[in-house]
Amino acid sequence: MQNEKITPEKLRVLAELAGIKLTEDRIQELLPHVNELQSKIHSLDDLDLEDVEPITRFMADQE
Amino acid sequence: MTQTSDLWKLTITEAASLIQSKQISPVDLIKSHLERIENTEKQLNSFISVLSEKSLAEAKVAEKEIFSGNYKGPLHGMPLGIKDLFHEAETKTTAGSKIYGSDYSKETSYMVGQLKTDGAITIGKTQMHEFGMGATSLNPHYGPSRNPWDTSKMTGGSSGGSGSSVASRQSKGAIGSDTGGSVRIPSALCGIVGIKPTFGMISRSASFAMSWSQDTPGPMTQNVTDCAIMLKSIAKHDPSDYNSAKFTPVDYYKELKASVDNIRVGIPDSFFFDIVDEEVKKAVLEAANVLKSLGAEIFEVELELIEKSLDISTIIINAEASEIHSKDLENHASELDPGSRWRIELGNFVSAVDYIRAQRARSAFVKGLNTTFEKVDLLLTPTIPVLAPGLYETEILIQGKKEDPLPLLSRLTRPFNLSGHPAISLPCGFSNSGLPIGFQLVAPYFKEQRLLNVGLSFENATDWIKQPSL
Repeated sequence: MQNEKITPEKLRVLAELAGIKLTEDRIQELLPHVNELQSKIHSLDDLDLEDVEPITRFMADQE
Repeated sequence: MTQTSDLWKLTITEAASLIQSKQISPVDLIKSHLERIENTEKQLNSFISVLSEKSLAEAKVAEKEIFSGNYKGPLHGMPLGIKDLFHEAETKTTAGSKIYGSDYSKETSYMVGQLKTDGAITIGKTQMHEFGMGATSLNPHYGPSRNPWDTSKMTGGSSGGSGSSVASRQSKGAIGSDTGGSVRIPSALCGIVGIKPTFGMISRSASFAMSWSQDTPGPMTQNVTDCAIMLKSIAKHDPSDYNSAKFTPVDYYKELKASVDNIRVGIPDSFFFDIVDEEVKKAVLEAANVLKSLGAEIFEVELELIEKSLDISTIIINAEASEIHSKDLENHASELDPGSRWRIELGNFVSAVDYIRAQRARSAFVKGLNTTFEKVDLLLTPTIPVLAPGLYETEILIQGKKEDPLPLLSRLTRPFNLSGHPAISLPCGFSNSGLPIGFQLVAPYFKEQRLLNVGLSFENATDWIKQPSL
């Protein structure tokens, strides 16, 4: 996904896809938080994660 | 001999010695702490519920056991605070929310059960940030917990009530839970010892989750020895917790010995000292000097991806918290703390691909940190870059720059939830205004004994364990 700003229209669509109900007021309140989160997500774009597997079940067993 | 009315002042170790020798009874001890709570709770708000009758009844049982020769060890008869997100049968468990806790819990969490097996008594369920979703313990439903060193200041959170109850000696010790620093933050701000063990070492069964891959319960105590006693009780594999680690149990209390010799301590200068109050910086660097004088070798180290760790952590925690609390959002949105609500809503906008990428980045971060631990035995950092903020303070001055204190509270603790490494916060000084300062030691996986032994050495060499005048 490209690092483009989420608009109210796009947030409405994303909320519907996620199955959560948001009023118009709520859309406006959440918008800056969603954009801040998106910028954190995109901050990982420049990492070289070639050959790095995700931690899908985090477990630090000693035995 | 200690006056019965002053028993609340004793540490676990001191009180255990008197109980074992039958000089005092658990009933005397519980009464003393209940009186202490009555005298200070209006100022502190450490508890969501105080279990007066239940704790007294359990103390009478403990008294009979001990006087009939069945002494269970140093936790027998000890009044502890339990963060109100761990279930205990016959208590109400709210998770700091109004949605939960109308009925009594039917089950007891494995971890609380271990403490009870060792004879501990829950004196109350402690105040917390709703669902653990914040580092301030400002709670719109139950009010804020207040710092015993200055009640106009925050305790930090999310285990704020646990921090204030131990610091004020309302309880002998407490259990907190730490997803981004929630044991270590209130420990540092309240001037006590708090350990976040290796991820998976302490069971989270029968408790409210916030982030399955980062939630870690931990003890909060007056000093390192008490911490070792509590950790020994609860650090056990629990098959009912999917993420419970398999490891060889250690008797942290028996193995506790002040020891720093030849310990290599790494200080990550960048990031951890970039935004830090001058008084905090001075106290933490002085702590490093103390360890050096005790025989530690001090090195500067760089931690790979440390700057990215906060973003990685935010993505993962928000996504997990949204799934965990999806029904709460669906059915009780208007009853949630507004801060919890937007956090739960927000995680819905992390895609599966975003989450997996964050987990890949996490993997790279963990690998880098493990490589650092091949060169050093411990890392040393401030626990928190600031002094306890005012309860509703939104701006503080650091290095001549105005900063929002709230994101700073967990800035230095969250990286080690992401990595799962054990970390302890120890008192290392006071500000000119009389507020406690803490520093953090971080160790490789399952090296809690090293944290405790070095912590004990530091504690013995300094004089920072103090009681507020409250």
